[in-house]
Amino acid sequence: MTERVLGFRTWKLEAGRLGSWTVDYRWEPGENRARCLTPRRSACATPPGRHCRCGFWAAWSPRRCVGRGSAETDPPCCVMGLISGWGAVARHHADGFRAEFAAPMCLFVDRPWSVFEPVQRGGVGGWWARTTGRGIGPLPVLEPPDDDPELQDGLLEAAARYAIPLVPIEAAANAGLLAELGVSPAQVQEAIRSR
Amino acid sequence: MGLTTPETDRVVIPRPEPLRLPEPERTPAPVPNEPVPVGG
Repeated sequence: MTERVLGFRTWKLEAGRLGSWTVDYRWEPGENRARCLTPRRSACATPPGRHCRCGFWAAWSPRRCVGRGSAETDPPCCVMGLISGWGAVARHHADGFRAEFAAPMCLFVDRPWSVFEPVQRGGVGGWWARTTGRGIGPLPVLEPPDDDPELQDGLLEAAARYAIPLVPIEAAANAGLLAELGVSPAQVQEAIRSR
Repeated sequence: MGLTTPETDRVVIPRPEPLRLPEPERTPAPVPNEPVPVGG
């Protein structure tokens, strides 16, 4: 039997609720069922549709997750977390998956984005190097902002609403929380500082 | 936003069992003290 899939994704944080980026959808605590909301043609009967982008997406690793938001994220309200997916699941090779059903499992306090640099160049490079100890080139290290009380309140409210942990990703990996949630050893290694 | 690489395969995964916390260890109920005969 194939076990549920777990992956990393980002949301818009709106008044303590997790919102999808490209469609008007607020996640519910626990189970969420995907609907195809494509505006270009008739909707897929059962997400994730083939040749479509519907379904709840997640990336296999935090690094790939952040890369997904490179062009469109609005850093002040962006939050990263872990979801589980089940039902019909389309796998996208090394990238991630799209699932018919999904549930938020964990939120991370980490802010790997930069409002000053494109995500691939500054924010992720520095954050990825600090988190994993593996550099991806001579990129500037930008510290994530941690002095935004409104953002912190929103994260706490979301964690309470969805009844899930709110933790630093490195601590979640090192303390065994990610493994406890079912994240594979390879995925955990992606998030552990190796230095 | 979302995944940009093409789909490679698909699976059907059953709904996961809800996470269950381990049962707390049960301690035996205290036995009421027997009256102790006094004297004789």
